[in-house]
Amino acid sequence: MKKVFLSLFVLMTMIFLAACSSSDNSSETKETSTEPAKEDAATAEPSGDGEPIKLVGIFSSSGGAAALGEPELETIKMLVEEKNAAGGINGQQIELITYDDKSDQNQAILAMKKALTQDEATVVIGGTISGNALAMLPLAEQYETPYISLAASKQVYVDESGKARKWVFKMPQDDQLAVERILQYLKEKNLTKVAWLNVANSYGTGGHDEFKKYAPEYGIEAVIEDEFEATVKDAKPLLTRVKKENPDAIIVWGTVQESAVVIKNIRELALEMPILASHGIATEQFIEVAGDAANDVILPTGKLLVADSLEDSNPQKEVLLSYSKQYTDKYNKPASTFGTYAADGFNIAVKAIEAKGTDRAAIRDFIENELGEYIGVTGIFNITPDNHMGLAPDSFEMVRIQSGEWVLEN
Amino acid sequence: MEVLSQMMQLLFSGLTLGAIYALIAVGFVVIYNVTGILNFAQGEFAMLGALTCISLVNMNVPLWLAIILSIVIVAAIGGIFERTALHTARKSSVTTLIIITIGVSIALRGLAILIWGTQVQTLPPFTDNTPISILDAVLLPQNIWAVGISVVILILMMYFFNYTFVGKSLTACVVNPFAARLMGINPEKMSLFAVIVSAGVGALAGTVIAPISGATYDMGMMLGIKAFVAAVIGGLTNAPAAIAGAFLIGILEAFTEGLWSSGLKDVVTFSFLLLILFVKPEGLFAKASGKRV
Amino acid sequence: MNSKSLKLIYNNSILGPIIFFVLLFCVPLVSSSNYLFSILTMVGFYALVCIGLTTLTGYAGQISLGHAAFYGIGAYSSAVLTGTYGLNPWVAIIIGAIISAVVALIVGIPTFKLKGYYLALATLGFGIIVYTLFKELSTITGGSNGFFGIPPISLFGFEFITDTSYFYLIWIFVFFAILFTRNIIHSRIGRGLRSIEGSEIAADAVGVNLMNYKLQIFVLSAIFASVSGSLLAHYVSFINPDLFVANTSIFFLIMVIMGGKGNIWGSIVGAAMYVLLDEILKHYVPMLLPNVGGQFEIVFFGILLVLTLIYMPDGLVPRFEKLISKFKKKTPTNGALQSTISANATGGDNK
Repeated sequence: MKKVFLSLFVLMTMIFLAACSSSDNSSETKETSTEPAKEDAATAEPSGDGEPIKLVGIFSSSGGAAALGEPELETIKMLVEEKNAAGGINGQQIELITYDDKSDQNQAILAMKKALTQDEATVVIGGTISGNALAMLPLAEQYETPYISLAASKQVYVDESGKARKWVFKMPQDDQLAVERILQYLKEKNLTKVAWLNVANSYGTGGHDEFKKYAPEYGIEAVIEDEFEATVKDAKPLLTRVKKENPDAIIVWGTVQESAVVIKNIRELALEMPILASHGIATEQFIEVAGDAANDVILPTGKLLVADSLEDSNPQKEVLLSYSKQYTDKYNKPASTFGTYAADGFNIAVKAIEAKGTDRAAIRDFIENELGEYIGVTGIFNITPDNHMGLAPDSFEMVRIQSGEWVLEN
Repeated sequence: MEVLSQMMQLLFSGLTLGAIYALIAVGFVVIYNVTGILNFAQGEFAMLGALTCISLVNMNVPLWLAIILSIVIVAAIGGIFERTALHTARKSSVTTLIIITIGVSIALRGLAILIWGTQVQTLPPFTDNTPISILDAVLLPQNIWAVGISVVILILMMYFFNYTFVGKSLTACVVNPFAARLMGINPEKMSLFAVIVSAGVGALAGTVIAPISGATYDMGMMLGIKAFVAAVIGGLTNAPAAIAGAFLIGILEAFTEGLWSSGLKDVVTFSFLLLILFVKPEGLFAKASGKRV
Repeated sequence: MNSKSLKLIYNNSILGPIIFFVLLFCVPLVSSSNYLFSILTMVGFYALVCIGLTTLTGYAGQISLGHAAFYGIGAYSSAVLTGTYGLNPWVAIIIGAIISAVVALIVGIPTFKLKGYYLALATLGFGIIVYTLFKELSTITGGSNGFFGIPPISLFGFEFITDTSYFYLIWIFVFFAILFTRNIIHSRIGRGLRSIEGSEIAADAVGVNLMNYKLQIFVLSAIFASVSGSLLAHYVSFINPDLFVANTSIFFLIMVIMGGKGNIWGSIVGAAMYVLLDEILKHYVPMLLPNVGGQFEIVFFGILLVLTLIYMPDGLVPRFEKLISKFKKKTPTNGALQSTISANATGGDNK
């Protein structure tokens, strides 16, 4: 009997909750002043005139891409809190609503739909991984809402015909820029026969596609191209094949964990050639996990990690140091490059709203045409109608890891 | 000579992989043998073991003590899991029980994010990790540890199930729970005992893996599936067969990756699994009992 | 299976489904929330897969942990045939279904000799192989980068783009799937299948060709999954292999078990629960615990799943049936059941 009641209770509660949340949904025209998911905005209601500023963040803060999504979420929360404490935008508080898509594409679609139709977002920031961003962006176009993507794939802001997607802007550098930076480095050092190894997921194959496209231009030839799993435990079998080919350099294209395993294995096999890695490993975690094996790994990365050693004249230096300090003070851990994408996305959105209010089309037009040169944490943006990303290859620096420190190469 | 050294290298890698799978497969087999449940949360025990151990080491607990403590802690978690979930639902159908263990693994993974976050963490190797070179192939002390520990577990399990009273009682519970009860063996107590043991072994596996590939909250899933495959290929009904199966899978994977393609490694492994299931479903190394077909 | 539920099975009245679907199709009259319809559409995709899977699990007594593979085969067939070769989406759906059926047949023949866990593992292995192939055959499927630019589906010049139109489209498919499955269950195959659930050996002895029945149901469930995948591909316009990992198969099974295996309505309730629970947690967890991300949702989901199954090992719908029959002993069971379920399902969705 007890069980019956308990199960009945559970079921009833769920149906009740379901009914509540969906009745909430159907009353979308009403102003939902009790919006529960908003953060920090409880202190002040929007000041009568115009729509409230609703910023929706959709990040993969759990699931496979959690290591990327988490700093993005934390950065947005930190910046909104700071902005609201300082009086908001034009005296109006920002309502931040965040969703976790759990690194799942369908969840990302539902979250995006909720953001656009329920929350009536002013701007959407997010889409941690390319798959999710690509699934979300048709909705942004359909509902004509500015969408600032934090995923790296070029497809995110360029459509099939090579034109910019109208409502989508992208913060991270293209994989192409990182690959070209590596190729350029290899050319300078005259390392023409290389081994290309990438992780078997969209990040890895994305890089590989760019590599195949641009390597001939730089006169670089791959003597072996293969991939390893994201859950790789021991890559030595694969590396025995690399060893046979005896390349001039090895490129390991992946994110932290799998790259650390592969690079450790390269060292264990005592392969002496230079190791180049992707910008995906540019976090302190990598040095921690790979230990001594991390030494002398060379990679392209945003300037965050080498902010200290930039010249004072570098316009980004101040922005970088202040972001890095703010993040570390608040969360007690080193800032990561992924957080910088979110920071730039937020700041650009704020600039647009400051100038144009909450009109979505005006915000989009502002970012596209009037933003001009924007000195961001990731790099210096020059967004134009043709280029909705706006970063140049020099937003990457080549960095070498030396006894646990990031050192500018050259 | 180069070919020989490559083969040696592949063999070493295969043994390492095999040892990792073996330690988790043992846990599967012990629980399956005693309770008839396939525990999909087995990989999560390894994850919990690894991350607990890392936390303890970060608190300046000596490594050996941290390993023992994390085994104890995870074994306790295993005990709670058995009492609250498996024991309460023991009368349910096989499918329901599978889903319950999946539910537990989902909850444990979520809990791990809450406690440890999502970043990959690492554990120092058990001993100095200077590579040892044999015929130009490289072997790491940590890999020797992995293989060594699983061989020791293999011997312990063989001894335990064949020569000790508790071990024989455990086997008796599977073969005929009613008769076991008549003999004064309490199957429920045995079930608790089995889950505790396999959680402990799982935790040990986690601490062995962490220095090799790092540890994250989501490492359990793939480990669990591969170990499951290994156990079935070897023979789900006895631990030594499962361990042998694990080494076989490890070596198969290493050679596929080394001689052909790493992307298609999973295709080879799982095709091999299907082949075994269709041709010899009782497993390669287990005695046929005619129960599975 | 007790006599009461047998009565339910032999109930040929399609009153229940009609009431349910009329109510469901009236939802657009009272709400115009696109978010609500995208949730209901998502439920529809899952429900379509689960109807096949629940028949397989409940009547044929077979567990499949590989249905994401058929879901994926459908999605990729549609994507490639319409996106790359410009075929009509409806033709692509049919070709996808045929491919899935053939694959199911080839895989099914040796697999269904296995039982219980071994079957589960074989299907899991099959699912992982197919997933790996989606990833590795990148010249056809786009590999891990995914397949972008799948055109929308249209009928007589009407394009299904809006959420409301897609909602109708998918649920009409679900409606026909339910009718079709009910007919199967009432047919010779259905009776044969139920004899499997009772005693496989006895059924075998009286000459029921089990293997054939199981295979037919397996192929049917593969076709449902494939069609669902095709429709999903046209709905989202972008797919990648990660949609079809082993986890997806596991979640399909979770929906079936939560709803109540072998119960067609259970599959709809299970799919609805799965999607709604997620949305509800997303909505309410931040309210209770403002400073956490999705992690708590995952923990809650896991715990709720375990609790549900411990206290309702047969799933939600059978538990409901029991409760109702307790309260209304006089009324004939089937009427009571159907009205409850419609009330339950629409009660959750309709508001």
